[in-house]
Amino acid sequence: MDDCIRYQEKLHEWVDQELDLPISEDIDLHVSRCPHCADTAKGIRHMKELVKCKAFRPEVPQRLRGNIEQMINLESRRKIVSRWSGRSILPLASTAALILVFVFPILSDNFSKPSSLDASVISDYVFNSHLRSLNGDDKPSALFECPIQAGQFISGVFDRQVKLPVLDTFSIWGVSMETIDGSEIPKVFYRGEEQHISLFLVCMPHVPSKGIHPLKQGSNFGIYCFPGSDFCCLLATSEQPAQYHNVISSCHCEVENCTSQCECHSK
Amino acid sequence: MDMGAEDKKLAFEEVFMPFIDDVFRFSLGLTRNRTQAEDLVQDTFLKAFKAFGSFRAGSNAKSWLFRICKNHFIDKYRVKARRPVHQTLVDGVSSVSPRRSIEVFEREGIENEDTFLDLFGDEVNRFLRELPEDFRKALLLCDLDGLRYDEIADVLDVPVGTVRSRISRARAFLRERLESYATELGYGRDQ
Repeated sequence: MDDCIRYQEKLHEWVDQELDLPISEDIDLHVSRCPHCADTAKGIRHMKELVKCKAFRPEVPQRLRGNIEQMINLESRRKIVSRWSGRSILPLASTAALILVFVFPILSDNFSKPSSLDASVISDYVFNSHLRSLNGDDKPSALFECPIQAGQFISGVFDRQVKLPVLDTFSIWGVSMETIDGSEIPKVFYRGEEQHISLFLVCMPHVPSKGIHPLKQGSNFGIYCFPGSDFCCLLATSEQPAQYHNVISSCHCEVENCTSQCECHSK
Repeated sequence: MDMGAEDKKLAFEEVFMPFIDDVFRFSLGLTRNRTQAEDLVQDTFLKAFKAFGSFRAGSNAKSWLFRICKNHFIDKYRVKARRPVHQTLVDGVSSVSPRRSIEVFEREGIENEDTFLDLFGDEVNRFLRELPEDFRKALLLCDLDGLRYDEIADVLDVPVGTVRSRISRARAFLRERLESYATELGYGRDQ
């Protein structure tokens, strides 16, 4: 019986195959001769089996599985980009409630194909995409904690430098790549306390304008184009877009080699 | 690990994607919140992919993922993280004689493996939920995920001896609860 006490202390490890061979063999021998310890070991095995068979095994939602696969796909395509200092060239960090995107002029053919997209196609798509976000049916495939990282990520995918805005009342959530008419469009997710904003970077023909022009208006939010030199930044928001106008105009000036004909270049 | 981007992606998917459900379950256990768990799983896989080069071939991929997941959870939700609940249960889990449970489980009719497993159903999860969190984690990592004690110790950041103790006490607690339940169903010793 004294032996049993000594062996029973080790039975869990023995069943879990955690013991070194000599000790394990010693217990093998004891258990083969001792019905009491054999019963105890059998009880432990049953308990293991029970937990294994009956414990809750949730399956990951298919949507999440798809997001992760897409995220890995994107990450694997990401190229090493120069680590420019966001701090040194981002004096706009102090600007409140800012929405802007800078894109260098054509550097790569990877970016969306301007000729294949027009406002009617893109506005419907962007509208529905933002609606999915609001309903919780669409989430970013790559998560980021700050716009600089997200911008670097998009830059890496497209070989173009992209800067995303820092927002006072919104935090960056992540980025997805969406395919519209064969063109890949980055969608940037921002989350606020009550509102959400989606930002799309699209190369498409657009009306040259210094200002913002609406593409589609819904009952709760609208899609607005903030034109750049060779791209549009499409913003889906329920807020008044005019508040971003000046910021976005001045933002073009922050981009080195920007070819945009904004006011700063004429100074 | 020196490989092209496509090779790296394929290797990663082959090695790690089969564990996505396990990481999701592990994340649910950490966050107790489905949305946060989904975010945590995404973060875990992105971090794992970025750190794939440091993964040692032949080591346990699941335990590596769990460790990333738990560390990220601590970083991200440190303030919000639920503290483990240490009730009086902890002191009571080791006091049951192993022999008593055998007397229940070995009754005629329960010896059959299927009957034995079917007998408890959701009760197992109910009793698992009653376990103190630290004990439940150790037990599930061992019995459900098949991790070794040293791997569990790595994931949970505790000594191996603590893992050993938590597992045996958790089983004893679970056994006591199941035994009472079986007795209620008419399989008790007094039958």
